[in-house]
Amino acid sequence: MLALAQANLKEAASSLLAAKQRTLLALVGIAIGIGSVIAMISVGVIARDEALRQFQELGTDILTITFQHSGPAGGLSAVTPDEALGVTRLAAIAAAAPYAVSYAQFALPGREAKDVMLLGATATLPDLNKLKIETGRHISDLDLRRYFCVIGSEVAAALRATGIQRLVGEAIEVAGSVYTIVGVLRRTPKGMRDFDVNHSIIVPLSTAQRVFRQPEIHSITARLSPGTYHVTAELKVGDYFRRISPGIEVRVRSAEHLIEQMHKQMRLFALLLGSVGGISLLVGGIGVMNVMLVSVSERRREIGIRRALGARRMDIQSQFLIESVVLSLAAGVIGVGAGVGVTWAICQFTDWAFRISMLAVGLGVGVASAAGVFFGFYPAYRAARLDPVTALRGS
Amino acid sequence: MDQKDNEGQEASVILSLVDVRKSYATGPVVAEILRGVRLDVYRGDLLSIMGPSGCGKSTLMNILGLLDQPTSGSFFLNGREIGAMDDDELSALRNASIGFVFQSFHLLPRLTAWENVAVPLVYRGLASATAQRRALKQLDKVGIGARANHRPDQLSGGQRQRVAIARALVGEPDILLADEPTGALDAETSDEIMQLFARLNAEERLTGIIITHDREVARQCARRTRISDGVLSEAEPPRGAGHAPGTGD
Repeated sequence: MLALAQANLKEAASSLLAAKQRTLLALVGIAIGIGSVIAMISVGVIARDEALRQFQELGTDILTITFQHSGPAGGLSAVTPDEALGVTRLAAIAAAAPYAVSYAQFALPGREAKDVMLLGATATLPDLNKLKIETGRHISDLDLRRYFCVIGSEVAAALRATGIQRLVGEAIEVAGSVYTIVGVLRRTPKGMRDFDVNHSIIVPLSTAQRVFRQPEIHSITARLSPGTYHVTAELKVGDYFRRISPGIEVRVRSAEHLIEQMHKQMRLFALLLGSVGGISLLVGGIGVMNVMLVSVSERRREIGIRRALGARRMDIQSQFLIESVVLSLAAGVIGVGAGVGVTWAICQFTDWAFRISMLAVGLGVGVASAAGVFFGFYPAYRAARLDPVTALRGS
Repeated sequence: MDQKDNEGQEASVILSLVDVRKSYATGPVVAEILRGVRLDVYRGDLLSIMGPSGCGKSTLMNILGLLDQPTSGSFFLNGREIGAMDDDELSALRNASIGFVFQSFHLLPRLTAWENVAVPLVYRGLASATAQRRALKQLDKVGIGARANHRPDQLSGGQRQRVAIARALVGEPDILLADEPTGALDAETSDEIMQLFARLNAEERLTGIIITHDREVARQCARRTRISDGVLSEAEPPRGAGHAPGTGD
C-alpha cells in the first residue's frame, strides 16, 4: 500500500476523532438523512409487496361489484340473485358469485353469544374468493334451501373451545334457525375480500332468501373472461345493472385497477420520500461542509508545513476530500444501520415480512459518499489554494 | 543533476540568486523588501544569514525555500531557473531539494516522530514499509531513534528539533534551510543542535543555510552573511563571543 493513501486515511480518522463533538454533530445530520430515506424506501417497498401479494392471492382477474346507497331517498341499492347471476351472460364475465349478508349472533352452550356474519352464497363463492376447506365440503348447488352451513376458522375455534371435537355433522343455532355444519374452512387472511371469512358462516343463497331479513344481493365477486381488459368489463357491468335497474349505484372495482392506483400512489410516495431525503441530506451535507471548513482553517499551519515538505495542491485537496468522504461514509453506514433497524421495528409492529432492500442500502452508501465528495469539495479546494507562506504563519 | 563532487575538486554552485528583488503592494504603497540580492551557495557550504527583524530575512528564506517567488531577478537551483516553474513543479522540487527546519519545529502534532519524518517520503509516493524504514534510520542518525514512536507533545524542545532535522534530511535534499533553528531552545540545547549541523556538514558535506540573529550560532558557520535594508553582504566573522543566545526581537 502506498504510504500516501495509508497516511491520508489515518490522518482523516485521527483528525475526525480529535474533534469528536463537531464530527458527531455532522455525522448525526447525514445519518438521519440516509437512515430515514432507507427506512422509508424499505417500508414502502415492503408495504407495496404486501399489498400486491394480497391482490395476487385473489387473482388479478377478479372484479368486485357492490351496490351503493342510491338517490336522495337513501337505502341500499340491491338486485335479486337472478339479476345478479345474469351478469355472467356478458361476454366479459366468466363467473359470478353473488352473496347476501346478514349479521347475527349465535349461541354457544354455556358461553357468551358470538357475533358472526352470515353469508348467503352460491357454490361459486369459494372458488372466486379462494376459500379452502379444512374438513368436510363446500356448499353445493344441490343444497337448495337446506339448512346446511360452512363455518370459518374463528367460528370453528369458538365451537371447539366448548369441547366439540367433530364439527362436521354438528348442529348450531344462528338467529333462530338450526344449521348442520357440512364443512370447516381453513384460516384465510382477509386480504382484498369485502368480508372476513374466518368470522363468517356460509349458508346456501336459496336458504338465505328464506331466512334473512334483507336477502337482497349487495355484493358480487366476478371473474373476467380471459383476455378481457378490466376497464371494458367495468363499463359493461355498470351498463348491465343500470339497464335492469335504472338509477342503481354500481361500483365495480378490479384488482388491476387497484394495483394501478397503488402504483400511482407509490410514485407520489417515492417523490415525497425523495424530497424529504434530499432535504435532510442537504442539511447534513452543509453540516459536513461546515466541519470541513472549520477543520481547514484550524489546520492552516499543518497545510503550510505539508506544502513546505513537498505536498502538491492535489495532495492537500485529496487529503481533505478523503476526510470528508470518511466522515460522510461513517455517517452513511450508521444511517443504513438505523434505517434497517427502523424498518425491522415497523415490520415487527405491522406483521409484515421483513427484508433488507439492497437497493436502499446501496443507495444509502452511494449517496453518503457522493455527499462527502460534493460537500467536501469546496473546503478541500480552499485548503489546496492556500498560499504556503501565509499558511505556515498559521491563523 | 550534479553528481557528488570528487575529493579535491572545485565545489559546484547549487544555488544562485541573481539580483533578486521582492516587493509587496499594500494598497497604493509598494514596499520593497529585497533590493537586489546576489548569492552563490556551493555544495558543502554552511552559511549563516544574520540581520535585524524586518530586514527581509523571512522573505529571503521563503524564496530560498521555493515557497515564494521573487518579483524580479533570477533564482537558479542546480542550474535550473525556477521562475518558469508551475506550482506542481515547485512542490516536487521542494520535496526533492529542500529540507526545512523551523524555529518552532512545525511537527505535525497527531503523528509520531517517525511518521513526521516520513512525510516528505510519503509525498514522493514511496511504499509505507520503505518510508518507515528510511525514517527510522534517519532518526537514529540524529540520535533520537529511541523516541520514534513518541508524539511531539511527549518530546522536549531539543528532541523535537532533532525530529524536525531528521525530517528535513530524510529525503536527501540538496540544501538544508534552517530558519532560527535554535530560537526556541536554551543555550545548551542550541549548542547540541549546532554541533549536529556542524557534524553533518563535515561528515556528509551537508549544505546548510541558517537564518539567525544569534551571533553564537552564526559564529559556528564557515560562511557568514548579513542582510540589511534588503541587501545581502558577506560579513566579517564576529570577534567577541559570549553574546546571549536567543535574543528576542
